[in-house]
Amino acid sequence: MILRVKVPASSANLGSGFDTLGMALSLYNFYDLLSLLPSGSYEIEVIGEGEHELEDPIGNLLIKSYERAAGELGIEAPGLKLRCLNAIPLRRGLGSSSSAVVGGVLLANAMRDNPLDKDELLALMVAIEGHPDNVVPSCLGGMVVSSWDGRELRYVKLPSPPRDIVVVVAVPNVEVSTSEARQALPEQVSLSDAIFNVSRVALLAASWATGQWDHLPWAMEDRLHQQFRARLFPGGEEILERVRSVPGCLGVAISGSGPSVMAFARGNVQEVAEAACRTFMEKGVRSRFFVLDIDENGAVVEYTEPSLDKEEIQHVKSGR
Amino acid sequence: MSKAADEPKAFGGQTVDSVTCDHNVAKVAILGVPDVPGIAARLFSRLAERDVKVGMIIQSIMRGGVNDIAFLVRRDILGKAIEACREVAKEIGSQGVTFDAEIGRVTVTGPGVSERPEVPYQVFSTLAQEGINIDMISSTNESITCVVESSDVERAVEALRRCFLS
Repeated sequence: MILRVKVPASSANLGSGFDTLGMALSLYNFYDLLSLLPSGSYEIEVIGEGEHELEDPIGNLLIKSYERAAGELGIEAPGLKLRCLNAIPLRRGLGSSSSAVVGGVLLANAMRDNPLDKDELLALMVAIEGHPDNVVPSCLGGMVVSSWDGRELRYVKLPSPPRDIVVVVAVPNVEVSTSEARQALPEQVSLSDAIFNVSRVALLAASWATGQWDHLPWAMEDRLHQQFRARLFPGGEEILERVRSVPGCLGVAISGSGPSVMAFARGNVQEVAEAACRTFMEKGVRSRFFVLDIDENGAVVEYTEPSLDKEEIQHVKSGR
Repeated sequence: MSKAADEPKAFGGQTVDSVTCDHNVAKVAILGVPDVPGIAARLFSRLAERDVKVGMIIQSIMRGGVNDIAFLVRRDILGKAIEACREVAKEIGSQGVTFDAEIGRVTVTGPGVSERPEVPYQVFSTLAQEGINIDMISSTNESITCVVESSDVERAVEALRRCFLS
């Protein structure tokens, strides 16, 4: 193995922070570069999530992101032999596609003579993904407030919460595509709903930044997207209310565009998780749950033998 | 229950003594465990320190230098298991831990049940005819245990009792 790119899952659209707030989670895909191939050739082995559908390089988001990033970064991109160890569930609102975008861009960056820092690559990642709230935390780690106008990216990474606050994610065995979830949203919202969300998301960011965790359940409430997306999966319309009522729950939201549901919990972790999974079960849907931390490191590139591997990359790129 | 003509008949009390179930279980799966000696020892010693009894330990076939390790714990102490598994998963650099509390186990018991090939066959075909998916399987000389979705447990017990004990 030449190098491993370790990329965390992410939970975005957090409650009131539609397209704005997201966090990296301690659940990871490993993208292992096994060897370099002639330009344009790819061999992909996928183990775990997506192992029967992601092995064709055509349409594979990791490869598309790698090639686009190589073009943007102005490098001759060799082909790749990759092994993807995927633990992030697909199409469940946990940032699996964003992890592929981050992974592909970082693979291309590793081919540079002088790789750029991660924050210099963020705008490119956001341009590939189309919105910032998954890729920015997935790349940088932490809870991040992001703003993107289609060209320029502004973001602030917030401080870490106390260790006893964990993220419970219930993942049902149904899928919601991001495009379907986008189509479920109305074209216009009322001024009162817009004000409702502005007040909540401002409070959420301010509370998080200053460690006033008791505000979270209130600050995560939303009127812009969740009620429309909750209709797209079984249990969606009941689950937020039921989980919110469990003592120890510090706020609950649809993760990404669903169907996973995330909650902050301080104590009573099992009860919070079981309230969510029981709701899915009552609707006849199997689910499992994760108890995760906010990942603070974001994506990491690990070289097995740095000097040797840099030489190998140079060797293939120069065609010797 | 309808049976195909070529299927063996149920064995009655001669082979199977009882069909029992247990709802007090939850499944833990540690994903992407590095395939190096000592990892499993570290995980299960941590669980032992917390007095978390485990059962039905299954390690997947190693692929890409990693395995998944799954096991059962009692559901009423799942909270302690969650804490211990999260700690170890982080220390060993695994990909994550996933939990499933919506399960139950169904056990068919009798002398030498797993040595009689027709018994496992009857267990699995009975559950299949009921449309019940098996999540995990384990056996000893005297028992065969299947983990199924919690909402399927009663139906599984009834079907297996009809098959073996009626």
